[in-house]
Amino acid sequence: MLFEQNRKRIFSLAYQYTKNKEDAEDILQETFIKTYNYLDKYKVENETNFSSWIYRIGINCSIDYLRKKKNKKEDFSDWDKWEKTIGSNHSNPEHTIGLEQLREKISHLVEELSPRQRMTFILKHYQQFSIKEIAEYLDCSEGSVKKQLFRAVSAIRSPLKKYLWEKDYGMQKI
Amino acid sequence: MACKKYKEKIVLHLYGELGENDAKDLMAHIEGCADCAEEFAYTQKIFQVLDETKTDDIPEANWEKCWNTIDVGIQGKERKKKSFLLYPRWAYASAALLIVFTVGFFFGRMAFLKPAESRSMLLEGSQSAMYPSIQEHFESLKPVLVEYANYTASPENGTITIDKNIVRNLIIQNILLKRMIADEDPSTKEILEDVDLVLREIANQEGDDAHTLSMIKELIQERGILYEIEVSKTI
Ligand SMILES: [Zn+2]
Repeated sequence: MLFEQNRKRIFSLAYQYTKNKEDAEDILQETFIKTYNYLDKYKVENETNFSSWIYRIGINCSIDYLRKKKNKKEDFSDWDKWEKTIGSNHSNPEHTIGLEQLREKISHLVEELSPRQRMTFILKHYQQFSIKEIAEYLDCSEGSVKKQLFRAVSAIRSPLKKYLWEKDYGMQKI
Repeated sequence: MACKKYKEKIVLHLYGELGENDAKDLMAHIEGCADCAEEFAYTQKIFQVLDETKTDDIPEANWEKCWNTIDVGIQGKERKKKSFLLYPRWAYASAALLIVFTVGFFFGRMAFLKPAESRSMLLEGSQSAMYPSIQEHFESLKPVLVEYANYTASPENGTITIDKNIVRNLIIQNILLKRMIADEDPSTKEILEDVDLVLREIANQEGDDAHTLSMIKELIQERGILYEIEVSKTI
């Protein structure tokens, strides 16, 4: 169904993006209200499949939502907070980080990405769209998607280095 | 300098986004460059870690809250209509008269329309994948409408239980399609308006008493919705 299928897809994207149920609900609502308001435009342009079109609105609503939220948020980094709490338990290099903590750390690192980088990463890594599709959704060039993606992966990759030891992940201590 | 370029390519390669020649070039470079070889191994590990730590748990949204906000946002202030069933009986009776008149007028007018005009692109849904199909929408409406249209008040019949969320989804879907049709297809738009009325009654239906169920049944019959839906297939 038009509404049924799309609401689930958009909610799940918005949730993966914000990691917050209420935020994802807000994005879902905003997406459908915008969809309704833009329907005239869709009919005129008519260049794309309807579900892709709604999905694109959902992506843009998510990015806008996060931008607004980031502007409001006080200036402290979740990452610093994380380092002070969980991170400090791992000051002993003999210890390796558990999977649950690693998951939490990755989640914080993804949250630290800029709204657009975060979306590029989610669309590629978790939703598994091609770079070409992402470029269409984000209305930018494939080159720009590649750059964003590289930066996002680098931003996640570097801080994790010190936590990944040979014991768990086959990595040499660096 | 060249290594920076290869480091970008490593990420693309792991996402399967590197062409054959570029991939060969990358592998050749890695064989001769310890730095990039380490980068490759580490990035591969990171991808593995990302996969291992991935969770697919998506919570269930509060659909009722979402639905209400969407409905209010879409309909704006114009929709502050009272429930149709809450009108006094005399109002209902005169409304029914008006329907008879309008439907009569409408069919009279239909006769003057060329077939091509009474048929919208939306009705051809499956031929044109660009548009969600009105016919698919009608198909998803039918089970709900038939359920109410077949209702007969008797002790053994009990009540009708329908998931309100399904009905709410149908309402939003109905609104979106109605707006897409706009004035291109007046006959289909009219059906969707009637459908909207009935679905809202079902969604707002508090009690499952025989009286309310019979009223919804009457509304479906008065408006000839199931008949209209069938006719729209053959146009
Ligand atoms: Zn190199």
